[in-house]
Amino acid sequence: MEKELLKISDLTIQYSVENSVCQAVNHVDLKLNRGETLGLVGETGAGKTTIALGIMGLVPDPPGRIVGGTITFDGLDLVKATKKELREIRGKKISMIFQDPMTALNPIDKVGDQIREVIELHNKGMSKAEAAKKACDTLELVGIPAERYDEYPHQFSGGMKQRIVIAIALACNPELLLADEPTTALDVTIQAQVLELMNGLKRKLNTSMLLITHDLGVVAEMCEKVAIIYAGEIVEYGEAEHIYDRTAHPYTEGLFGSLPSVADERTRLTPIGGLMPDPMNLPKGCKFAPRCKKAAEACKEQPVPLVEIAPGHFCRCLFAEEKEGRYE
Amino acid sequence: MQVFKYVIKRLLMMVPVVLGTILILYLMMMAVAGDPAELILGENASQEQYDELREDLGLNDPILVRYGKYVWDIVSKGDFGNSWYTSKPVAEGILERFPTTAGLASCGIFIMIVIGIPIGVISAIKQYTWVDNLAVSLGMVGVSMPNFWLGLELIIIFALKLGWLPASGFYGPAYWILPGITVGINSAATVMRTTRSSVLECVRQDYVRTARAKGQSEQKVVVHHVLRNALIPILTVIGMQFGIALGGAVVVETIFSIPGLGKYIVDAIGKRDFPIVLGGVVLLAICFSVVNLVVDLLYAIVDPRMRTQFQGGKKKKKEAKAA
Repeated sequence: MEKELLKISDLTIQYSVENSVCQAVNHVDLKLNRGETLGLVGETGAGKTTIALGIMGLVPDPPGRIVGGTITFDGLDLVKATKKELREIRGKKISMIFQDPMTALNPIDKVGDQIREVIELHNKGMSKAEAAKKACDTLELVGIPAERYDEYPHQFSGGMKQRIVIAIALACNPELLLADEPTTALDVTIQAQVLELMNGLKRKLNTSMLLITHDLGVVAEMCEKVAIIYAGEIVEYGEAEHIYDRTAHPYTEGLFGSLPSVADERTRLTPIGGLMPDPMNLPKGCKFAPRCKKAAEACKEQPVPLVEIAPGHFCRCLFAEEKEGRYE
Repeated sequence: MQVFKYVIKRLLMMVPVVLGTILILYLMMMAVAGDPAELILGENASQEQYDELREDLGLNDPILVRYGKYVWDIVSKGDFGNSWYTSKPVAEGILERFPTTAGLASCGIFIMIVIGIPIGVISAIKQYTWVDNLAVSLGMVGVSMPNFWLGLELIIIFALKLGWLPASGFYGPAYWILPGITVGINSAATVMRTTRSSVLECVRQDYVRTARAKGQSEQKVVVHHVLRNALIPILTVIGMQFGIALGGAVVVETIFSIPGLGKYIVDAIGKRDFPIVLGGVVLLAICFSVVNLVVDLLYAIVDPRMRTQFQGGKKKKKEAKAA
């Protein structure tokens, strides 16, 4: 039986800005097993990064705060964990690949030393030379020659910097890897290289991964499970096949509709009309209702629950159940 | 080797700066000083004495010729001319007093770093708390106090009322404290404000989050990742404040009756002893240029990206071609 590594339940994170409250993450439930990759998909501002930062205990406070819920990692509730416990987990058991490689590295430290820092932190008693040796190995692992240990971030290209960020994240063989749009800042060829690299390392080290992205193509390549997030809420969740082949939520449909397809001869894409609701002032009912073509009065009246429409396939839409027939 | 070349280049570049400074000062002094021969001899001298002195001082030459001679004497003999009143060589007078002024300015720099940087860092990390508010208010008070006023207040409180420290003179460590504070406190407030804003900017950077994500302790994150990155603007301000501290020393030495370069210059201004004023200010200008050079070298130590400035133009061009 697969073992559960991470379980998030009812997680709510808010940012307080002056007198208003920005509801970034609302009652999110997620589960991740060992060795599994979960794709977290949503548009900019949907709360994807905030969830990852919540897991790391790095939500910027102030203004951000975890208001409620639990994040259980390997039996420990990270929300209630002490700073010291969190520090021991960060970088060792859970590590994060950050979105923008251009700014994620300290510009005045040698890249090798930046990798060595995390190795030394979590291997007390290891000598400086040993740690440096291990940092060199990690550099080689991500395909950067160890001779470049002494160079500074500005001497590397964007793709190489991203690989260094990945090297930092992987240096201590984490059990859980949070990859926050690891390929967004890269061009497509480098993107493929980086994904290949991450996949290879994942297999080698049996790491679980939470892959945050808004690129459904990347998700298809990497993930077993997918969660679609909209305005801080999970709107659809399930096996990747469910999401791709039996799309249930209108928002997910919209996402697919706005993708270019090689097979179709479409000249124009079908975008989702409108904008995400203001997180300071979310609609009472379904958050997607104002942009949804199928929205009815009932959608706007009260919050829509996340319903299991088929085994392991959850959807937050009043009309989703009608489509249940498609599983037969 | 590259650093050495760079330093030589920068020192050479100082030459026109200093020459220009001397020229401007020379013209200004000539415009305000009146007739030096008349000043020296007083009203009762005969026309002959007067003509003789003008010839001696070279006052009959055109001004640019005199400027050229002045500069040439400095360059060839290290001779800044003689005082018009005592006839003693100015160079000697300046060099005698310079260590005192440099010491006083260093004292001020020390106070400005020791007070300014830690308070600035703490205030930035505790942004919007009472600690921060207090620090910012103190900073406002600090930059608003003119040093001539502060010096007098300190004398009244610590020397006259409490009797803890001496009020004037310069005979031992205790004599350094009040003048040092007077020179340093203004600058400390400026350094604190710069540190605060620079740290605030760095603390929000992604690489600081990366450091935290590694499991690094908050203290090390602040010192190793935040402060080191925040140092560039702080260094710039400290360099500039050093110039201000040298200038401030002129006032402060007068208040505390310290026999330094500043007091020498101020006394000379009172007597319109032109060679001393000129010589003193030229030395201060050279000092300021050197401090700026040191600051630029420190940049390179702090930030590896700045090290490219050591490469000569040729090498850069070569690299550009290769790329």
